[in-house]
Amino acid sequence: MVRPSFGAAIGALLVAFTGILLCILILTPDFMRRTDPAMLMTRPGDHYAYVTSRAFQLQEEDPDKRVVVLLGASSFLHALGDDSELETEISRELGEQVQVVNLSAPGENLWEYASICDFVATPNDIFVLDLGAKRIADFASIKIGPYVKRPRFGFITDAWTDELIRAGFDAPKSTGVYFIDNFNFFLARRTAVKNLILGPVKINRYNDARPRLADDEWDEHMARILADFGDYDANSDSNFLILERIVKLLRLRGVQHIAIVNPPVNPRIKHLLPQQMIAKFEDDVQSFAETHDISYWRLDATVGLQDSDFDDWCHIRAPEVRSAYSKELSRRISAYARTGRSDISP
Amino acid sequence: MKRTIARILGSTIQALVLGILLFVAIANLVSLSTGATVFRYQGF
Repeated sequence: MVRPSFGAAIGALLVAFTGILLCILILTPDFMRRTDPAMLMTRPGDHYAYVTSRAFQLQEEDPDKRVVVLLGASSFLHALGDDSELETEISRELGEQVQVVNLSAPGENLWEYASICDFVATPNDIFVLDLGAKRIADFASIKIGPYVKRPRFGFITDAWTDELIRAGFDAPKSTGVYFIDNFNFFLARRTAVKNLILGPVKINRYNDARPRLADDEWDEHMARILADFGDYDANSDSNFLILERIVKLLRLRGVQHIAIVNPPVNPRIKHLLPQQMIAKFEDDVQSFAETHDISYWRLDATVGLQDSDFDDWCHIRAPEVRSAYSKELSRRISAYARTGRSDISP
Repeated sequence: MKRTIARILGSTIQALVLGILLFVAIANLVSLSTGATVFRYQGF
């Protein structure tokens, strides 16, 4: 007969405690650098685990190696092909081996840009930041609030903490123990334990896309997008200030090449967007680029995007268009790296 | 002697099974209370 035993109860507590201790001992920054991103991901489109893992791996790279770091939201992610496509193009144009790492993720915001830059920047890097009018009109601190307690990335940087404090939030409590400081990141990914038995997740960074909108869905879609456009006049100054701090941080790290790219927009709905806001954004971003001696590129017209290339108002669906977009971006990055001259071009 | 070994073995198995269940339960409980979930973008 099985009888409950006092020894077993103490043993169970010890086993549970050992489990927690093992997490603290195993899940360290060093573990993150050595582990395949696909082992940490809970599903093919677990972007934030992927970006966290790649960012850790970047820290291990030879600082003399030239790395192109791409930061953006989902529209930028969906506009580009595989990193290796850009790598091949840029390396061929520059005549040296260049690494391209796309650290974009859906809804990635300016605070997260600052945090990633702080985490990975080295002097030889080239940083390309996706920035559209919606981003500058959006993301007042109230929108970022939910991510304060549960940061989406598995690292906390000084730049992140600084932005929190500036926005009136408390600085995150730091214990110095990586697992504890990033507890929510790991807790949310507890089901990734299954990867130890089933093997790594098959990464598909376009996995979260939905089918192309049907004709009768456009009105509702655009109404939702337009309602979600923030207040440009109220938010633009504070968002440009965050962008300025990002540029200053990168300059302090010795980064010479910084570019801003305007994300793609479906030509079908361009006329529906708030034209005054878009025009003001164009003026502001160009003046920002000139003041800080950085490049600003708009690739839509050059690539020749069409309505059928998109799923919705900004997400490119066609692989061949992603290739064309990647080629154009590679061409701009190569020219910028070769000449060293910033370039503000339509 | 045999009975002692069987008792120790039984307690160890109980401790392992209960301990792992306790660990999983704590993780689930904490995740519920803190709302820790993998972020899914709703913009699509």
